Amino acid sequence: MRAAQPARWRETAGLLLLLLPGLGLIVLFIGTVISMAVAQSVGYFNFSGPSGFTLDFWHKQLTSPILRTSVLYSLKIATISAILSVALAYPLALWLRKPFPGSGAISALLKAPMMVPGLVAAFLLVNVIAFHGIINETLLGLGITSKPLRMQNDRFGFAVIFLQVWKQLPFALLLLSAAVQSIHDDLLNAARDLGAGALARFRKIVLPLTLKSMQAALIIIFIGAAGDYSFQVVAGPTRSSSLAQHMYTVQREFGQWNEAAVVAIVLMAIALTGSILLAAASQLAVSWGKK
Amino acid sequence: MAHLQLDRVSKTFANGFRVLDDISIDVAPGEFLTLLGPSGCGKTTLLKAIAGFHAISSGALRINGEDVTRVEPERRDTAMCFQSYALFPHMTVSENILFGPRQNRVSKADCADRLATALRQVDLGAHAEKLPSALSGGQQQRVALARAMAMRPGIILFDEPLSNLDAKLREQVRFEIRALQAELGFTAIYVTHDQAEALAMSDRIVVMNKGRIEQIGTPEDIYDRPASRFVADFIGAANILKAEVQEDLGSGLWRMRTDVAAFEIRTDKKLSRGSYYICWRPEDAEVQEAASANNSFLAKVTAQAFQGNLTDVILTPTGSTGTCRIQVRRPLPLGTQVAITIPPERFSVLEAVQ
Repeated sequence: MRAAQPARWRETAGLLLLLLPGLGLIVLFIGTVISMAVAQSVGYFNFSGPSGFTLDFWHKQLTSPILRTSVLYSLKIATISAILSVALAYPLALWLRKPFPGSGAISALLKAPMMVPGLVAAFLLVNVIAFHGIINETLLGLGITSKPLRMQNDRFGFAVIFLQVWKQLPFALLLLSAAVQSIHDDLLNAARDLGAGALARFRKIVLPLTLKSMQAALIIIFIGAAGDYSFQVVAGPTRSSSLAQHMYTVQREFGQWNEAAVVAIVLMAIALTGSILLAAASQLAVSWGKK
Repeated sequence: MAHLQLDRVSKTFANGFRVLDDISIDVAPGEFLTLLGPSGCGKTTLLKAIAGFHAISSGALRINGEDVTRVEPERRDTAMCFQSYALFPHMTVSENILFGPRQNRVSKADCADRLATALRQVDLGAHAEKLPSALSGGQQQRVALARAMAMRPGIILFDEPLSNLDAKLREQVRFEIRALQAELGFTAIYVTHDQAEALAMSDRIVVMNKGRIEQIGTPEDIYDRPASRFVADFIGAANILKAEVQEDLGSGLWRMRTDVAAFEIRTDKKLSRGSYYICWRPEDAEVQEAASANNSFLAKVTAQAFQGNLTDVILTPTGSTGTCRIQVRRPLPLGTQVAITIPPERFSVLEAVQ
């Protein structure tokens, strides 16, 4: 018995040492960055004044209407983009589930936006929707409209949502395709044999069996879109800022590193909370749909 | 209980391969019909065509007289037990069983009744709230059966449902399926490549080969009176010989010459001059020390395999280069010469030699 104790201790220590290069680095990097942001938000590491504990920066930002608008705007863009990307990826994944002539080429084409950097995509879209972009020039040329339509920097953020979906749909498709293809034909045939039509099969079989992939896609797209900067500055509304844009403005324009840290923490909290809520909502929706 | 009619059903794949060729079968209500054949013979395709998963190229499918050839699977009066069981992994046993009734908007009271009945029939009441992954293969098979039965369909289609079970369990579930079918009276179409399973369970067997029906008959018919070399060879073991018709002895008795010996063979078939394939089963041979006058030949024991309840013996007939197989209770000394007698009525006359 006594000999077994040191052996177990050595085994545990060995395992921890083995984990250290991977897990240790992650904890170190993430921990450092987050701790620094938290510390800055409460007055430490102040680059433009005396350092010391204070909640002033939190007070300033939490009472700022710009932060409130940015939070709501980023939540809106991220939620709609995530849901829309997944909603559009599902039918495509189901359509491409079984190989058919040309399905490989279609699949590759659908994934092409993953290779285009976001900023490039934003500029390409601007070329299309700008005042003198392709759409407006065509509409004017055909005499359909008498003056250019305002599509760039629209108030709602449709252009940003479009860019997010265009960019993130292939990613959702990649995740969902693998999940949908792993569903055995017999399961879908059994459901059909037991009286389930196409919609019932989707609700009761496909959705529950691909839930984890769907949640992964929703969360990753949501986090990416919530923290978007490049699409927003190129194609987003001029009156609303995304959280990332607001954070940059606070730091760059006003030199307020500590307030920018507050916005960063809010952004991380939004990403975390939104992800949990989206995962929970999708779980609930699937459970409800299964009945 | 439903009446199923397959009328000249054919199916050709896009690449031109004809997987079903002119299949006509009339399945009586409450009958247990088995589709038997080697891999690739088209039996599962035929089953899936009956279920509606495969569209047929020509012919018609009727259930209780109604043409269901173009009816969607979800609208047919059939339920299928899949080879893979196809249980929904995210649903409990109860949810799996109630999937069909709920889908068909059966009332809550009726659902509860169907669930209780199905669980009792397959003896899985204690496992109702478990997920399929927590069950053994045999239990999963029974859930699949209960799920099909809860639909109360006219026809249950079984796609090699026992192929994933071990030999002992297979035998047990085989009896359970047959007992349930007899109790509930549903029409059963059962696909298997296991001839022992087919012989043990079926009212009738359809032997298929290369998309065509080789023979339809009761298990006894198929085994005792195979219609072709394929059936004789596929169902059990058979000694198949070429035999030339020598003389009509009257009353269905014919003298035929083989390279082993001349035999008197009784058959219902009207034979013409020429050669036919004939066969006899290993267990039909009578072993004697000396050859008798009729239907006998001498042979030397060249190999044998003790099987427990019997011994398979390979013999080389005197004056022949071929071998034949017999079954005896206890092993014979290797190299011994024995006399083999085959009674005339134990022969089957197969197709003519082309």
